[in-house]
Amino acid sequence: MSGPKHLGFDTLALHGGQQPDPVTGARAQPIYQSVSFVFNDTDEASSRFDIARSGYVYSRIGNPTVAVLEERLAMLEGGLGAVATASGMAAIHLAITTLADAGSHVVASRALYGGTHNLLTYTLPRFGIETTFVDPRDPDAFAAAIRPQTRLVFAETVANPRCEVLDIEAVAAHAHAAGVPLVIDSTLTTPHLLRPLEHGADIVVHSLTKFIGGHGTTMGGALIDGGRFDWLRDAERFPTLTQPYAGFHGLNFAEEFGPQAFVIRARREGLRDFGAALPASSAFTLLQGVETLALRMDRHVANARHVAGFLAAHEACSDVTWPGLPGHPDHALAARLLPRGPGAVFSFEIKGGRAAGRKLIESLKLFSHLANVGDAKSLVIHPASTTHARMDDAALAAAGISPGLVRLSIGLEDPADLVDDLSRALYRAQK
Amino acid sequence: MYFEVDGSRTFAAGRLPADAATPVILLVHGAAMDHSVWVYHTRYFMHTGHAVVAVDLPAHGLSAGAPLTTIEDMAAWLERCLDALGIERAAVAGHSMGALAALELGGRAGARIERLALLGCALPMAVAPALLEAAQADSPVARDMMVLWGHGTRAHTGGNPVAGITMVNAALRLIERARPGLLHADLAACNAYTDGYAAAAKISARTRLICGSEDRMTPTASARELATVIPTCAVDVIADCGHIMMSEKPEQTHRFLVQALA
Repeated sequence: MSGPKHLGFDTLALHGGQQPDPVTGARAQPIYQSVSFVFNDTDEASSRFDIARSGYVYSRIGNPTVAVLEERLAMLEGGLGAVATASGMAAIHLAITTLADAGSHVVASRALYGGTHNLLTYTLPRFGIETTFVDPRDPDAFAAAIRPQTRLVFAETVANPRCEVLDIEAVAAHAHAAGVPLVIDSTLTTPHLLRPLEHGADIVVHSLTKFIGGHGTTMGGALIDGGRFDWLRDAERFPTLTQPYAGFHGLNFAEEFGPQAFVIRARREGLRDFGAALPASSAFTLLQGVETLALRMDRHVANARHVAGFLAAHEACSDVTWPGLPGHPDHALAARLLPRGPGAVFSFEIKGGRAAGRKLIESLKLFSHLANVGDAKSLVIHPASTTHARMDDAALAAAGISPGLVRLSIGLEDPADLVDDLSRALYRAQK
Repeated sequence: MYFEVDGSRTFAAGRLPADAATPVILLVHGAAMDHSVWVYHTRYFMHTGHAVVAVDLPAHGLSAGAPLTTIEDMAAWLERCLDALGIERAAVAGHSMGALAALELGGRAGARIERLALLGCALPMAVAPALLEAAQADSPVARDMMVLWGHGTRAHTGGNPVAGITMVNAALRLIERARPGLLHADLAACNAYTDGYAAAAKISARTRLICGSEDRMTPTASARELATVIPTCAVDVIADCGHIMMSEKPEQTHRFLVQALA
């Protein structure tokens, strides 16, 4: 049985959320660099404040340029709606605090971006939100850690830097059986490589700063609501969505907004009160990245395959963690979940430990030595000589980092040039 | 608010008046949808001091019970719903299937219904055989037909004035929540409703038909024909808009709805 077709990914990446400007006919999305928006009358003003009419009020809560980015991202992920934020960390914070409050509990993968780990380990406990960390390769461990107070399960599609691939369907099944939503950080895979909502996730978060923006120019984040989680099924577990909210005159988000409850509360409370809004100018540059996302990601993956293959065969390297390699422990899972490829961020071990790693970094010419991933340019970092330089080998081991671990983010350069650069640097590092 | 109609737990968003004599705005959703399609309108009417009830028909949204299988049954149920809530006078708006139920209610309830707004309404409301067949099979294709045919072509790329919400996916998620078989039951009820013109001729309420210029499911031409039968009726057309106008053109729909009801 065939029916009408939804617009395809590449079309939505260019057109999603946007119509030519109705006043000027501008084809590119204009930057609405305005903090606030004029009300035609007091009725319109007061009803917009009360979520009783559509329209813009103040750019912290919503902005027409940002809204195009939000709607486009929601469409690309197959979600119901999105909220853009000032950074990826702001998106994660917004997702968690829309659901959790003091006394709440989170179950999270222990293979997480360091910033997320800090938020869950050190910062949120100050506000009464505790986290239990589990092995991302053991879906049963997620189920075992869920408590009556658990408001969400959190994990990354492909973790950084060891590249553990999450069995999203298995973890989602455990979370849903316990009545808890699954929140997935899909920053390293982007919707071109993987759409977590199609595999059972309920909410997706992104650091747009990385591959989606794609050029290392602009900070941003987003959360995307799949709209399928039934908050009312276990209403007592999710009081922020199912109980009257005094901050909006007794509004019950789940009852009144139905499937839109989460994303509406995230915007109308979270952006209003925490204020981590994305500037319109940032939304504009991030939209440029979205337009070419598919083209760039395919090239990122192709280059990563080339570089990973080179490193895997190099006598000075071991433990290349790109999941596209047959020897990776999650290779079969990656092939199933990520048929277009498992991204372009991975790590390897350099023979010679900390000293060799330092020498490698200092010998690379094309790879930029910095603390970021997902740029169009190739990036490298050696934690033992930079971010974790003060730790001895024992402390490094406790943090899951070996002295010879080198993380790469593969860019869009000619792959032969990347291999030449690595080849020369590896030679010098082994001398 | 929860209350009982025919012994079944029934949900409605909104607020009741302090006394039975105050007119209430009753909002009725379309096939396989629920009260949340009216969320901005419900909140607006509450915000401006009106009594308003956006009801979930039986088996829809948060209401229990079995689906009603004819438009006449829906209209009769709406009358009993007004009784259960102690509402003597109402202004009624319905969308699509809900518009048919509101029309039938307007024809049978006489002066109790003071104003009518029929959004996305046509007679007959023939449903494409392919859609009925897909709905009977509970196929996802039926939901795609509903939301993609239900929105104008331009809306497929988005541009929602409600920041961050995708119109097509939001409608899809709502219909996905419907119980198995409900979409088919609703569409079959629309398809089988043949006495609409008789009901329309008996309407005493001041009526407005609110149409989308690009509505493929209930075309504007059909609405204009219906308007010639209803004794006191005007037609409002929202430009560049499909069938699900509350999400596609919320502000224009709001203005026409306020003119029609408030």
